Formats: sequence, C-alpha cells, structure tokens
Amino acid sequence: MSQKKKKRMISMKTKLLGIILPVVIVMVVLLIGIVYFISRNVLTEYSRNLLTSSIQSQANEIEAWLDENLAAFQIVKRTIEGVKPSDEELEDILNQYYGYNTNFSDGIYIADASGRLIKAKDSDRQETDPTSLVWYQEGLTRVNMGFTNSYMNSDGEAVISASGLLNDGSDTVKVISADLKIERISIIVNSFVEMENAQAFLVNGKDHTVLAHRDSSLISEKLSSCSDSFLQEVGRKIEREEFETVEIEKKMTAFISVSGTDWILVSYVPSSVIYSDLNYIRTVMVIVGLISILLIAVLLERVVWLVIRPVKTLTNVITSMTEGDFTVEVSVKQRDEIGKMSRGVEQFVSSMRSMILSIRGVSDQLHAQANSSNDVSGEMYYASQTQSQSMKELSHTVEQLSLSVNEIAENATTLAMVVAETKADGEKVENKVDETVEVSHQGKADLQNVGSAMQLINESVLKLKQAIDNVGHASEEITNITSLIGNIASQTNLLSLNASIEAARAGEAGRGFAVVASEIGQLANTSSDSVRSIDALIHEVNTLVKEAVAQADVSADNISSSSQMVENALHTFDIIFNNIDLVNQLVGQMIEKVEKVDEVATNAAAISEEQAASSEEILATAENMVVQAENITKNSRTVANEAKQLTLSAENLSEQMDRFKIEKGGSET
Amino acid sequence: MKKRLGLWFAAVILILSVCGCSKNGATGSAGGEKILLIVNQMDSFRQTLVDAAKSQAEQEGAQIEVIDAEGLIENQVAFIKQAVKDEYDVILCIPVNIETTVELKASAEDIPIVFINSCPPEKHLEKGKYIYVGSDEKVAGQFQAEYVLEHFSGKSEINIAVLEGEKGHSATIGRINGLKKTLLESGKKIHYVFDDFANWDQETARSMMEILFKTNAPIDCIVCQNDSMAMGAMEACKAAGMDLGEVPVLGIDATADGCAAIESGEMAFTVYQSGKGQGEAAVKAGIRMARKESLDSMEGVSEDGLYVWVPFEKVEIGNVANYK
Repeated sequence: MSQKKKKRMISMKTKLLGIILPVVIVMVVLLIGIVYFISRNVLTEYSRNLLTSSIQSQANEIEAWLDENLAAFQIVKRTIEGVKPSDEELEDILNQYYGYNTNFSDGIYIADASGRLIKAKDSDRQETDPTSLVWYQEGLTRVNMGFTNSYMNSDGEAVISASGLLNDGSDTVKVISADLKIERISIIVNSFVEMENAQAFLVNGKDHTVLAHRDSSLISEKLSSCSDSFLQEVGRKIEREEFETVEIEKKMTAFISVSGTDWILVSYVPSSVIYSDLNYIRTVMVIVGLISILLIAVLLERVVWLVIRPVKTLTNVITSMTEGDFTVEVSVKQRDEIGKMSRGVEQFVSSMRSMILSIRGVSDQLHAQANSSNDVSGEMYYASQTQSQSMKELSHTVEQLSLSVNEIAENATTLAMVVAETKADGEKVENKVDETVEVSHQGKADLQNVGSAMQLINESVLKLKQAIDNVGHASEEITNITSLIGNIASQTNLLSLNASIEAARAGEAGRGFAVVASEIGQLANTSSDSVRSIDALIHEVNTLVKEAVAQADVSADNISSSSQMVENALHTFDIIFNNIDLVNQLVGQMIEKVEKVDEVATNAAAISEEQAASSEEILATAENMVVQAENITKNSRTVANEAKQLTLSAENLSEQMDRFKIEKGGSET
Repeated sequence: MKKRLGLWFAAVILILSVCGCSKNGATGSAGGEKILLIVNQMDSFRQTLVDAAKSQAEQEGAQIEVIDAEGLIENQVAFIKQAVKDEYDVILCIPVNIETTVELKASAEDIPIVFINSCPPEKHLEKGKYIYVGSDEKVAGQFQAEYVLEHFSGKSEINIAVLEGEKGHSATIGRINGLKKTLLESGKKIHYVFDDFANWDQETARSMMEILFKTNAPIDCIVCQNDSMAMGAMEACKAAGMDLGEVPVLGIDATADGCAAIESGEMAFTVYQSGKGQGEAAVKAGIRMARKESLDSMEGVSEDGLYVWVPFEKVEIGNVANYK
C-alpha cells in the first residue's frame, strides 16, 4: 500500500494548483459572499429607508393636499361666517367657488337642519334629505371643517367631504361641506410615490376599508374581506397597530398614519425590485468571481508551469543521475532558486563525473591491492603458524631454563647461608683464640708471679730458718728466766707461810692478813706450776724448731726445684703463646676469606634469584608470545578471509562503478 | 522610534485628559450650571412648571433664566442662538412647534436640549443630548376614558363631545389616541357627537359648545383635553341650563380653576399633569446632561433614555384637596 503510494507520483504543478486554487476559490467565494451579504444588508436598509421616506413624503403630500383644500374651505367658511349673508348672497358666494378649483369642482354647498340644500347655481347636485347624509352627520360634530370617511355620493362616486358646522349667528343649524373625489386622492397618492415600482394605498384606520387604491374596485372594501392575502395581512397589521416596515408576501411594506385624519397610508414595493439590484450585483459578482477564478487559474497554471519547467528538466537530469548516467547536461538560465539549484546540480554532475573517474581508478587499484593483500595474508598466515610453533618450543626451553636457574638460586642461597654460618663460627674461633691468648698471657703472668712468689718463698724460708734459730736462742733465755721465776715463786711461797703463822698469832686482827697471805701463797704455787709448764713447753718448742729448721731446709730445696719448673713452664707458655698468635692470624685470614666467600655467595644468590625471576618473566612473555602467535595465526586467517572478501568487494565495486556512465556514447571503460 | 512615538502619544493623551478634566471641573459638580428655560405662551400650568423649575435649579445651585417665546418660532430660535453666545450649559425648551425641532437643535449647536410639554418626533431625540421631559399624553386620555366608562358603566351607548387642543400638537394627538383607543376597547358603542379642536382655549370651547347645543345632539359627557376648555364648556352648559351633574365635564391639567370646579362639583374629573414634577424633572435632567452624567438613575427614564416620564394623576372630588 505504502509502496503503491510512493510509486504514485503527484507532480508539483498539481500539488501547487491543488493547494492554491481551492484557497483562491474559497477566498473569492468568501469575498463575494461577504460583499454580497453586506450589499444585501445595505441595499435592504437603503430600500427600507427609501420606502420609509417615500411613504413619509407621500403622507406629507397627502396631508398638505388635504390641508390646502381644507384651508381653502375654511376661508370660504370664515368669509361666510363673517359676512353673515342672506340666502341670495350666500348662493352668490357659493357660485364663485363652483368650478373654481378642480379639486372640488362641485364647489361648496350648505345644508340646514330643515333639509334645505344651498348650492351654486350651476351645480346639478340634488339631495332629497341632505341631513341624513354622511357629510351632514359628521359635519354636525365639528365647527372646524374636517374630513369625513369616504362614501358614495348620489352619483355613485367615492368621495370624502370636508364638512363642519357653519356658525353664521343664526339659530338654524347649517353644515357647510365640499367634496373631494377619492379617485383624485388615489391618483395623488400614487403620484407621490418616490420609489420606483412602489405602490401605495390609503386605508381608513377606523374601519379598515380601502380609501384609495390603484385598483378602484378595491375602494371601500374592507381589508379583511379582500381576497388578496397581502391585503388581508396588511389589514391584520393595521388592526394590531404594527406599523413597522416589514416584508409581507414578498413585498416590503411601510405604514404611516396621515396626521389630521384616521387614514393610514400603506406603501409597498415588491422585494424582487429591491433584490433585482441585488440579483444584478450577485450576477455581476458571480461572473466577475468566475472570470477572476478562471484568470487566476490560467495565470497560476502558466506561472507554475514556467516556474516548474526547469524543475522538470532538473528532475529528468536527476532521474538519469539516479540511473547512473552522468553524461547529462544541465542548462542554466534562471536567476532564481531553481537556477541556483540547477547550477548546483550542474556542479554536482561534473564533480560526480570526476569523482566516479577517480573512484574507478581507485577501485582498480583497490582490486589489485586486494589481490596482493590476499596473497600476503596467505603468506602471513603460514609465517605466523611457523612462528607460533617456534614460540611454543622457545617457551618450553625457557621453562626448563627457568627451572635450572631456580635450582641454582636455591643452592646459592644455601651456600650463602652456610658461608654466613662459617663466618660466624670463624669469628667465634677468633674470639676464643683471642680469649686463649689473653688467658695464656695471664697464665704467663701468673707463672711469672709464681716464679717471683717462689723466690719470695725461698727468701721467706731462709728468713724462717733464721727466725727459728732465733726462737731456739729465745727459748734458752726463756728457760733461764723461768728458772729465776721458779726460785722467786719458792721464796714467795716460804714468805706466805711465815706471813700466815704471824697472821695466826696476831689473832682476830690478823684474819684479813692471813687471807691475803694464803692467796699469795697460792699464787706462788700457781706461778711455780706455770714455770714448770713453760719449761715443758719450751722444751717442746725447741724440739719443734729443730724439726722446723730441718723442714725449712727441705722446703728451700723443694722451692728451688719448683722455681726451676716454673721457668720451664714460662718458656713453654711463650711457645704456646706464639703458636696461638699464629693460629689467631690464620683464623683472621680465614675469616677475611670467608667474608669474601659470603659476599660472593650472597651476590650469587641474589643474582640467581633475579635470574629466576627474569626467567619466569621470560617464561610468561614466552607464553604470551605463544598466545599472541596463535592470535596472529587466527587473525591472519581472518585477514586472509577478509582479503578474499576484499577481493570480492573490489570486484563488486569495479562492477558497480562500471554502471556509471561518464562519457557520452555509453561505452564501458 | 516606536517607543518615542508611543511616549508622544501618551503625552498627548495625558494633556487632553487633563484639559478634559479641567473643563469638566469648571462646569462640573461645583454647580452653577447656566440653564435657559424657554417657555411658550405662559398659562397657569406652565407657570407651575416654571416655578418648580426655578426652585429646583435654586436647590441645585444652578442659574436659571426664563424667557417666553410668545408663540413665535423665530423668537424661540433667536433665544436659542443667544443662549449659545451666552454660553448656557443646557436649554430647557417648550417648543412653539415641534416641527421646528431640527432647527432648534441646529441653533443650539453643542448645547443639550430638554424638550418639555410638547413632544418632538422620536427620530429627533438622542440619548443624553436631546430628550423629552413630560407626561405620557396617552395616559391622560386613557384616564379620561376610564372615568367615562366607569361613570356610564350601565350604558351600552355613550354620546361624547370631545374638545381637543391645538391641531397637530403632540399632547392633542396623544390624548385623543389614548381616549379613543381605551373607549374602543371597551366594546361599548361610542358616538362622538362632537369632536373639534378648541386650541386649549376656554372661549373657543365655550362658543363651540354653544354651536353644538344648537344641533340638539344628545350629550352624555364632555371630554376636554385641558381644564381651560372644560371651563368654557361648563360655561356653555350653564348658559344652556344644563345640569352639570347629569352631563359630566372632564378636563386635564388640574389647574387651580379646574380644581376649584371639581371641589364645587361642577367639573367631574381632571388629570393632574404635574407641572411641578415636569419642571423639576426637566431641571434635574438638564443639569445631569450639562455634566454629561447618565440619566439612568432618574425616576421615569424610558429604557431608550430618550424620555423622562412624569406620571399623571387622576383628580376627582375625593382627592382634589391634594392638588390645590
């Protein structure tokens, strides 16, 4: 459906005309409608006003005419009333007015209550009983002359009379009157019609009878009893006192009451007369409208054709271009937007031409390149496959390498640890050696001390031998002293016996002295005991000293030999000391060496760890490379496929490009 | 540019409005409006009207000048022209002849006119500019007819003598129409044994009645369009030895004479046309128009704003005391 729609082509001209023409037609119709409506209103209003003013002027004319006549009659009446004439004189006066005015050619006549009719000599009016007549009856009701209703006079003519009481001072009631023929009023009524085709008739407002009408047969007819529906409707309007101008039975009808009378003037004009102008206007406007629509249509068609012609040419050009034909020529004449468009298309065609040419070259090149790239991608595929394989192998190797390096690293680390321990041990040894050296130093010093102590001991022993010799000498002297003390203690003991005999003689007084003498005696005994003990002791000491001297001699001999041994030990110490020193030096050297080894081992460990890490990285890289290599293989396969595709596309493009024609004659490139 | 133009425009409007205000202010609410009242042929009714107008104007602080055209249309036009020169604010006018309305309006130039007593044709009236203050004449005729119908309610035929005012006068036309229409609608047989224009005049009325009596026409009642004519009619009746109790005489206007006649039982009925009310209403309306105010709030204003109706009132023996 939509495709069908798309396929159905609507030309721009049709579209433009399809939009503009209805709008123009609607506008013109609207314009005509509005103008017609306004003119209708204006015309109707105008006609209404015209009719109203016409009827007004008619009414005025009638009034004036009546008043004029009435005034004339009044003058006569006044004259008569002023003159108060005798019957003869009265007749003379009436004679003067007979035929004086065609309006009342019958002249003026007077009737009195006795039924006598006074009239002009030439008048042939004959009334048997004038007092019974309308004019007399109505004349009785007023002094100023006034018009009666219409009535038929004795001659069978429809007339109205102007009649009134004549006040001539006499006691006889007289009515003066004059007749106006309705026919005349009728003629006057219609003569004063100002509006063309308008008609008027006069109606008595009291009894609704027709007073004056062009159709004299209608005179004195009651409106309601007329056969004409228009007149009946007018009658109804008058009855209801609806005196607005209205349209009755397709006649615009106006009413006006004639002042001074009970008369109603009705004037009407057929609506068709009013509307004939309107119809004329309508016809003219419709014709003008149609002609203008036609003219506008033709003009529009031509203008649109003119405007669109280059578009059509352009459309053809563009259609050709759509079909790939760029050999078309665009001729530019216009200076408008379409001209601009054409120039644009022209430029487009030429640039398309060169572009297609270059595209065609490019597509050929592309084709060749696609072919070669196809080959290259094939090769690349193989190469990448090989590379992938190699990479796998490499990866394997690197893995092994990595493993080895790791081992080395571990060993190096162990070695470094061992060396470090060794270094620590060496340092301990050095310390111990140092300690030993120190101890041996001390030992040597101690030995030296011992040697000097031996000397001292030797000297002491010699002194001791001398001292002991001195003790032997002292103990001999002590034995001499103790023998003297024993002699003194034997004498003291004799004295204490003598003192105790003498104290026993002295009696009581000598008791105290006897105690002291006993004490002294005891003391002397004790002292003799002590001396005997001391003698014993000294005797013992002498023996001991003799033994000590012997002993000291032996010790002195032993000490000399010990000194000799100490000196030997010193000597030995010195040798040990030297040896230890040597060991110490060796240990120091060894530690130095071990430190170096430690450094190397640590370095080796670090290096081997780095190597291990590096080798792992290498391994990872190698694995990545394997993946990449596989990807490359995959991609190169895709590339190879796409290169094939490209080749196909290039071939396609080449085919497509061949469809564009850029040289006349449509020859293929 | 546009803005400047707008400013100029605004300035001009401002100046205009200020001028307008000041002008309004000068003639406006402060009072002191100059009113010219042109009467025509002074009679007792019109004297009442003039007196009421004067006191009303005084009450509202307006100046009022009264002048009599003495039945001459040229006088009336000349007075109006003079009023324009003397810059009167409003003219109250009893037209000598309503046919001259157009000329009166033209002579008054911009001055608004309140027509009184005699009503110009409606097409010549204009809301707020040319209005009519008066009583609806038809109502007066209608009141008379109602009295007659009530008085002769037992009779199916009534013989009526009618004395009309001046021929063509709006009051004459209105009153006779009101009378005849109401009588016609009653369905009774009405004989107009006499129907003539006595020009509001007592003497004319009297002489007409004398002539009428000569015809020996049967007369049930005499309907006069004003009290003066009624007075004339009554004189004639009395001269003819008629019993005024038998033949009621009706008037309009309730003039002092009329009221006295009613009080004495000679005259049967009159209609009070409030000369006072008309005078007051005319001045009120005139001042409002001079101030360019709306008349809508005034009592008796017709819907179209062209008329200010002052109501008629029935005057009989029972209520005549109120109108003396």
